[in-house]
Amino acid sequence: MKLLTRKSQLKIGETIFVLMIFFILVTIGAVFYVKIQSISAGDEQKKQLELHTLKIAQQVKSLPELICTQAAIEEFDCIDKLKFEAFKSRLEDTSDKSKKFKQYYDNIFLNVKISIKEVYPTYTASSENSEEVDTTIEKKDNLFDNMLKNVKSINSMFLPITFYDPITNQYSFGYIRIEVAK
Amino acid sequence: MRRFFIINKKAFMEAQLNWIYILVVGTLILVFFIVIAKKYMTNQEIKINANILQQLDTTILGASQAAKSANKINIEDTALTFECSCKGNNCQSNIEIGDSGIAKDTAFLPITAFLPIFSPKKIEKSQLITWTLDWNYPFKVSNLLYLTRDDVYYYFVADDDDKSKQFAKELYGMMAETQFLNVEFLDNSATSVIYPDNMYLLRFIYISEDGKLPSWLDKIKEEKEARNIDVLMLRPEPSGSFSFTKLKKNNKVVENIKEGDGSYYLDTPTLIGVIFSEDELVYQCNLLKAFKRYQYVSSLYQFKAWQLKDDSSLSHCSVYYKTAYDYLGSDVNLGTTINVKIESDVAATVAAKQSLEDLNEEILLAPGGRCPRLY
Repeated sequence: MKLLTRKSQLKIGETIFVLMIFFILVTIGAVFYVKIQSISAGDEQKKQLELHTLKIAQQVKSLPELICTQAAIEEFDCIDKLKFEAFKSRLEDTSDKSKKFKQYYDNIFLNVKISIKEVYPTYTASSENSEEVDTTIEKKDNLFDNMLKNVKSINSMFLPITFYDPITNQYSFGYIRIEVAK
Repeated sequence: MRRFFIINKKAFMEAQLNWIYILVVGTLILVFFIVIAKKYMTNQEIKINANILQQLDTTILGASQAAKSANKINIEDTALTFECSCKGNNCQSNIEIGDSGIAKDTAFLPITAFLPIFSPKKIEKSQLITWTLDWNYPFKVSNLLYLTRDDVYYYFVADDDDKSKQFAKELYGMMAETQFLNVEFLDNSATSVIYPDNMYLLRFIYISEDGKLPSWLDKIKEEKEARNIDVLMLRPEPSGSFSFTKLKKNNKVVENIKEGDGSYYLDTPTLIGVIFSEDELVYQCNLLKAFKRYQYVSSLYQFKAWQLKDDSSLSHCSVYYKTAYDYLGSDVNLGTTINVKIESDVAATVAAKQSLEDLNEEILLAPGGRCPRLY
C-alpha cells in the first residue's frame, strides 16, 4: 500500500516536473520571440522615421506657401524669398489670427523642425553702404519649430534648394534642414 | 480477496484521477495556445492595417504632390471609410481602416487634415483609384485628391445642344485620360449601352440646359443590378450649381430623391470633386477645407504684394501691387466666410480669381520697367 502511494506520488511528481519544464521552455521561447520582435520593431521604427522624414521633406519642397511660381506654374526646388518671409512672419506673429495659422501648420508638421540657410552667394554689407538692404538669409533661419521636448530619436535631412528674390530677380543657393522626431 | 478489491478500487480511482488530471492540464494547455493564437491574429490584423495605412499615407502624399497623376492600388480585403466633418468653416477628414479604429485620428495620417479628398464614403472589396489635379485659384492653393473604387462607373450624358455636348466631352476626355477610371460617353437615348452588373455605383453625369431628368433613367434603375444608381445634374457652365438625384440606394429602387440643398462648383477641378464625392455634403466639407488653405495662402500673397509695393526699386509698379493687396485682402475674407451654398459668395470668389488673374498679366506688361509677377 505504502509502496503504491509512493509510486503514484513519484508519477505525479514526474508529470508535474515535465509540465514545469514544458512551460519553462515555452516561456523562454516567448521571451526570446518578444526580444527578437522588439529588436526588429526598433529597426522598423528607425526605417519608418527615415521614411517619414523623406515624406516631410517632399511636403516642404512642394508647399504652395513657399514655392516659386511663374503664372501659377511651379519651379522645381525653388523657394520664393518674399513668400518665405511672409510665412515666417505669420508663424512668429502672436495675434489670434496668426495663432490659428500656426495651429494649422502645426497639425501638418507634427514634431518637425524646419530651418533654412542661404549658402551662395552670401552677402555682407560694406561699411560705406551699410544702409543697403541685405536680402540674403545669412544665418540659419528657423522657419518652423514644432518639436516636442523629450523626444526619443531625431532624424534630420538636408535638401539643396534655390532661392528666388522677385525684387532683384536673382537666384541663390542654399539648403533646407528638416528634423523629424518620434 | 478483500485486499484485492481495495487495490483494484485504488487503481480504478487512480485511473479516474489521471483522466481528470489530463483533462484539466489539457484544457489549460489548449487555452494557453488559443490565447496566444488569438493575440497573434489580432496583432497580424493590426500589422496588415498598419501596412495599408503606410501605403495609403505614401500614396496620398505622393498623389497630393504629383498633380495630374493617377494610380490604382490594391487594398486587399480591407475597407476604407472616409469621413469629413465641419465645425463652422473648420472641416476635417478622417480615414478609418477596417474596423480597427486605426487612423481614425488624423495624427496617423496628418495629411488628411488639410488635403481635400473627394471620395465615396466607403471603399471595400475593390481597388482604390487615385487621381490628383492642382487647384490654382488663380495662384496654386493645393492639390485636390480624388479617390474612387474600380466598381464605380461614370457615364457622361449630354442634351442634344452643342454646348452641353462639348462640355460633357471635355470632362469625359479629362477623366478618360487617366486610364484607370470606368468612364463612358453616352448619347442621350443611351439605349444601346450594356451596363455592367453588380457595381457599387452607376453615376450618370447629365449635362443639360433645362435641368430635367431624361425618362430612360427610370428604365435603367428598374432593370440594372447595381447597389446604387444616381444622377448628377449640371448645366454646361464653367462654374455653377449642381444636384444629385438618387435612383437606387443600397439595392432598393427609390423615387428619384433629389438630395442636398444645392451647392456650387467653381471651376473644373472642383467640378471633378463633385463627380467623385459620395454626396453633396462630402463635396462641401472638402471644398471648405480647400478654402481654409486658400485663405492662408492668400494672406501670404497679400504680404508679398505689400513688400513689393513698398520696395523703392519697384515704385513704378506700386499701383498694381496696391490693387493686388486690396484684392487679396478680400480674398482672405472670402476664404474665411464663404458659404458654398450661396450663389453670391461663389460668384464673388470666381470674380476675385478673374480680377487677380488679369492683374497678374497686367503687371507683366506694366510700362516703365520690370515688374515681378505676383504669382
